[in-house]
Amino acid sequence: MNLAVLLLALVALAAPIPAQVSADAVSRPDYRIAVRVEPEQRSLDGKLSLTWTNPSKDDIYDLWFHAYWNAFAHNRSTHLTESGGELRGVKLADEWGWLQVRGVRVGGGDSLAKLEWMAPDDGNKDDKTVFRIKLTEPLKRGESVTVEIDWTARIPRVRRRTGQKDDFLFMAHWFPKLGVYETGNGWNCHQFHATTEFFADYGSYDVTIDLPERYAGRIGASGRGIGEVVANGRVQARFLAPSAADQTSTDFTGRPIVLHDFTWTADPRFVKQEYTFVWKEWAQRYRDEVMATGLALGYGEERLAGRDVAVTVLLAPEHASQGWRHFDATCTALFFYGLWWGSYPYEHITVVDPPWGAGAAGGMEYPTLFTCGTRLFTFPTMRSPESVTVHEAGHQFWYGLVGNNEFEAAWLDEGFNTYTQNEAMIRRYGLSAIATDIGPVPIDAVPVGRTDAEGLAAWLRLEHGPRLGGREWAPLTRSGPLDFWQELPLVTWGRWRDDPRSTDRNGYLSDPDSDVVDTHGWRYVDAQSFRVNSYRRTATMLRTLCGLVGRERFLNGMRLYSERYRYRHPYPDDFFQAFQEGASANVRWFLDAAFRSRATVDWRIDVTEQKVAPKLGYFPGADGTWSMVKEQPQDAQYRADVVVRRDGEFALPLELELVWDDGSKERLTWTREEQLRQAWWKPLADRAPSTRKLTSAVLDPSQRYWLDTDFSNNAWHASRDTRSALRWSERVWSQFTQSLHWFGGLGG
Amino acid sequence: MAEHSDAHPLRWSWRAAHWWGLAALAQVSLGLPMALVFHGWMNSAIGNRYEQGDLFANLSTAFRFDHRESWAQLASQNAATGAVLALAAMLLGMFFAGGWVTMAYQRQHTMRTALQGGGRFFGRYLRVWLCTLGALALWSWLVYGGPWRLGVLGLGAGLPESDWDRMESFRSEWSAVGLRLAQGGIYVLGIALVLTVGDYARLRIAWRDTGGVVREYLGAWWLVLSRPWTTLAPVALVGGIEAALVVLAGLGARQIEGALGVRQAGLEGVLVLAAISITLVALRCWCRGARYAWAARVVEREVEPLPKPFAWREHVH
Repeated sequence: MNLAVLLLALVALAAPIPAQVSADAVSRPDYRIAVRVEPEQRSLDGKLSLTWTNPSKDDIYDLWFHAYWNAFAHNRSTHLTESGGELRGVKLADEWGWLQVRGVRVGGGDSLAKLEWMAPDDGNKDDKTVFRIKLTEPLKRGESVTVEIDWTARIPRVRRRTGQKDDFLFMAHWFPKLGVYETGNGWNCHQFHATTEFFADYGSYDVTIDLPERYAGRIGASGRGIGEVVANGRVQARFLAPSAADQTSTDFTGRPIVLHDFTWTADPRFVKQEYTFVWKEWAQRYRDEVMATGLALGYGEERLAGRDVAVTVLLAPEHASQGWRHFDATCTALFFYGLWWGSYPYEHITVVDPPWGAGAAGGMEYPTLFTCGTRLFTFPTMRSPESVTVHEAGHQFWYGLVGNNEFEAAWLDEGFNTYTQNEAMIRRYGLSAIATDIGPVPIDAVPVGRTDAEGLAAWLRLEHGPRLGGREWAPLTRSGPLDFWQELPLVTWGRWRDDPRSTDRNGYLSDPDSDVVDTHGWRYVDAQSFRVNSYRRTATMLRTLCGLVGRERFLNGMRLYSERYRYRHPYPDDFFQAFQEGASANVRWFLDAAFRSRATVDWRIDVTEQKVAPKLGYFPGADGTWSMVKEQPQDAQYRADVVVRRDGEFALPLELELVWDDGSKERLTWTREEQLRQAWWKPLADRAPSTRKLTSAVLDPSQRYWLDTDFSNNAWHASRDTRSALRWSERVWSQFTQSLHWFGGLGG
Repeated sequence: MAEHSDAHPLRWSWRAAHWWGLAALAQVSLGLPMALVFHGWMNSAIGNRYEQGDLFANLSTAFRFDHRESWAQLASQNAATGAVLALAAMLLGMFFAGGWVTMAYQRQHTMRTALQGGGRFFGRYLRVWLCTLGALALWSWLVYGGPWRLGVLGLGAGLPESDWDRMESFRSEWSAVGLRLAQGGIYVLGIALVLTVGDYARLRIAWRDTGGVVREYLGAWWLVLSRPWTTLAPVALVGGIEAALVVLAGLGARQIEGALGVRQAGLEGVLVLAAISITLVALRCWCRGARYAWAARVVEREVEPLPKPFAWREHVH
């Protein structure tokens, strides 16, 4: 390392450490890091200094750290063992990365010999993603320790979020990172599993990055850069996270602004675009939402107001035209999340579009910096990259500000974020188009009648052929341009739109039985169950919870939770307690069913309507005399037999809307208590026949609940919809007709 | 009735409306079973469960999800039916080709001429079809098999074998996308060439009235490759007209689809979409006839009849 850099690093390391957060004994690590990277050698040399105070009542005998990159060191790590040796579908053979600690000094004394690798989750001795350093003396409450660590790393090829691809560097969880000490429970420092993410304490970072000169002006990181020095073919960039200005101010709750990770990226090819999120503009555009939220929370505009945020978008050159879309989606998150859950406190945010071949770094969140992912061809109604951008920007709130333990309760950020993302998406963008790829080009159309041929059908469609010489000789290979010519999608395909809230439901129902939501991240039966439960099921349950308690109470419950646990580490019971307190609702029964069981429900309605025959025959009169009665047909009456059934474990108060042919409507409720007593309900059983006929009967007409496993049996209408089948059948017919014309051309 | 031999092929084939109309009717009819099955399924799925028009503008996410299993079953059944219909379409194509060819060489537009021709050459055109399938298989292998992967991706682009599918070694997405587009484009151009050679093979067989299918098929390749401009220009021109018709139909259909999607059109929009599709398939059948008519003249000029009594001597002077 040359002299200038060394001096810069020493200055950084010697800089005074900001004041500790005092009130609630939250542990706070403040890092000073200097790193030098040689991209050609894929090497990284780093030095960090960390000062940490024991906030607990316990005497602490060791310090535990994460060394995440060692998950990519070899094929026996816990991470690679759990993922079957693959990362994002790629079998690792030659793209390893590792982190080697070369020096440890605690309180100035050499402690490298006191380093011990740990495997607290599975005992895998080959897994080196967690180490501890034993202290010479126990650290008592309120005492501080300064640790200096020197390390060397080999930068992995980007296959799981972090690493290098050509000149592109994405450095996530790249330094030895202190775990979280929990009073009475010890160090919470899990191994790096295939399905888990990260957990660390809030503090600050002062990082100096030394790279070859070609990276000048193209480095992004958490926090804010405070200057670059270019000299001797190198560039040194220093970042403070939170920024210097943020570190000397407080957020709207009055707390000092801190964060719990530092990530950086660099690529000489980055196209850099700078924008500003202006809160007032968005508040004006969504005035109704602001007013409704203010009324619900009892907050004035001042408390609701967010700050303006500088947004830097770093894009691959071929995606430069999509910069504004990334910015707009980021603003969507900053506005709606900030409005509902509390304003984004930092002055800056960085949005990163990983280049081609580094997509594994995409779709991931880090404090004040996140990655998205897009493609060359995309049209606005596809909502890509908008959807992933809103999601990852949204993580600034769920996980970034409310710092749940992502190992043990990933759903507290992923599911909360997915819920909020899709609420924001539907408000900002409405429905999204379903695109079909024609080769690499998506079009806003869907083959309504598309079938995929197998077996004999594939042979007849010439997609299979005889095997000769060890390979199959099929006359036709599916290809985008060929599909375009065969089916003429612009002429024959239909257009469908998706509601993002429905896709949450679809996701949850793709695997509702494997696990409960509240499961440690590495203990789900498989990766699919992890995704279903942590993301979609949680989002669906939250949406249903909102329907159950009402929007106003829901906002209050969530807001109390998000404000109370800002810069803290809540666990599921913390959420349950805070939500109920804020919402003034006793819904523990729902929370347990939603997040701690595999309960589902299918409500179903069936209706039959009969014409009651006119009276005919001898009936006793008032005086007891029997006389012949023959009612006229115009006196005929109808009896509607409505049966509502519940199948499953959930029982939520359920509305039923009945509409009669005289235009009248009524809403009835099947209460939770009634549902628990019996599995069916006949709301009209005690009613006398009437001259009115039932036009429709609809369960949950306001769509309060999203967890029903089958919406298709939730309504009954007297008149059948005959037009829709015709409309979509025409598309099927048109598609096949043109396709058959093409096949006709093959014959002659 | 004899047609003036100088009539432009487009006009000439237009006047064979009975034939291209019949071909279009056949294709439209073949497409009906799939649509009817789908219609029945959808009617059953909708039942009394959805409000009138609820699913008209958009087939909702919830509907598609709730009916996914029965839809998948339907798709599986329809795949088999569709494949059989595809085979039927190919066989019909052979038949209608025989009709076009006979009308072209007999200079007669009558339905009787066309029907006779369709039957007369069916067996030979079936064999041409098999040759075409072989050529397509070879082409598919060249463009999507080893030669492309090794030659273009490996040697040309320098990608390691482990990266031939993903092409992530490129620095820019443009390189990967460009290659994929080029591959797809080359593929369809090649298919177009193979199909054109098939057309010329059918014409040669009819012109020479011979059963030597493989010989004439190879002769067609020679004809096309040795006289590319003469043989491909007319076909490309008709293809261009057909493409223009497809583009126009596509623009119209997209407008209607868009209007349906935002509830600015009702059933009348559906009828217009159907009319666009029917009209387009009819016009494409017309274009196919024009291609045969034009290519027939090329064959007349460029291909010597066999040294035996000329089959068309009564009609071609």
